[in-house]
Amino acid sequence: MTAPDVQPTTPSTTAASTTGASTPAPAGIDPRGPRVGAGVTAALLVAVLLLGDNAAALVVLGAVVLLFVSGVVLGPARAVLGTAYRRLVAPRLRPTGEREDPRPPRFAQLVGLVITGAGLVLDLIGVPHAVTVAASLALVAAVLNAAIGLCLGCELYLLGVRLRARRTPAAVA
Amino acid sequence: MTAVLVSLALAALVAGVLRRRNGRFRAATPPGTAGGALLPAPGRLATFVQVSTEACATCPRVAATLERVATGTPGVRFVELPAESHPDLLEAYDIRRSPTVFLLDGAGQVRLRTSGPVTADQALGALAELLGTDHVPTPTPTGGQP
Repeated sequence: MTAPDVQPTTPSTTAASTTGASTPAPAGIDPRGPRVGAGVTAALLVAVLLLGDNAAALVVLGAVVLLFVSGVVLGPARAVLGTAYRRLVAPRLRPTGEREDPRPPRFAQLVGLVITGAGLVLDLIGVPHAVTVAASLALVAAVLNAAIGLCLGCELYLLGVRLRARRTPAAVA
Repeated sequence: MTAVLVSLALAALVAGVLRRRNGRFRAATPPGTAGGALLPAPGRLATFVQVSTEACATCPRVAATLERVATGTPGVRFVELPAESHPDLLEAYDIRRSPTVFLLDGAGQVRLRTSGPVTADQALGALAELLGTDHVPTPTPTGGQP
């Protein structure tokens, strides 16, 4: 278990270059897409909270969970909200040459799925206020994403890397 | 209704805190262990070391900015390291966010650090703080926005 050699990645020259990942980056997406999607998600979560603890709120939260599933499984470009953005919103906006790695927004969708999915499941097995707590947490994350482009899940990702490395020190490096 | 307002207030609070912290270089405390050996060989005058992750939307943009600043400043190097393959570095320097950027002096000592989105002006300001303004191109007068 020696200290790993420092292997600098090739310094990047373009914004679309590697983030130091081992696999080559997939095709970039319009970075405004995930933010618009987060806005739609935030609106749905506000609806969940305003509906209160009842069946209607559960149905809307279920829809949000399905949107997150689509984001995780299909990726931000081909997911329901990503497709809606490309067909309905992007043609009305100024075209942009800016492209973003789709992996971070996909990870954000996974974080959203875990939070809202847990709320849904916990509510169904009778835990009180599960929907309210889950929808509130997801709303904080969605609003931050829509308003300032911050991916809360990505902020936590590095802590996850550290925890994983601590548990399996031999497997890394 | 209360939950909506609490969530929005919390989001505003987080946004405010991050806006203050993002890209603001501060003095770095030396690592507890022999962390210096974990960093790459320094440039003649200074080195920006950026620790990035795969799940980091701002990392490529920050890397491009620092690369540009390093290219435009003689003796300054830029290196990007993937966090996933440098777990010891993450512990030694208590790295919690990506990107985290270190500014090393010519001897390879970490002098300044920051995290989050970094603008060219912030990077140039940190270089000026480390090297004195003689070595560094003057930041554009437009302020700190990217």
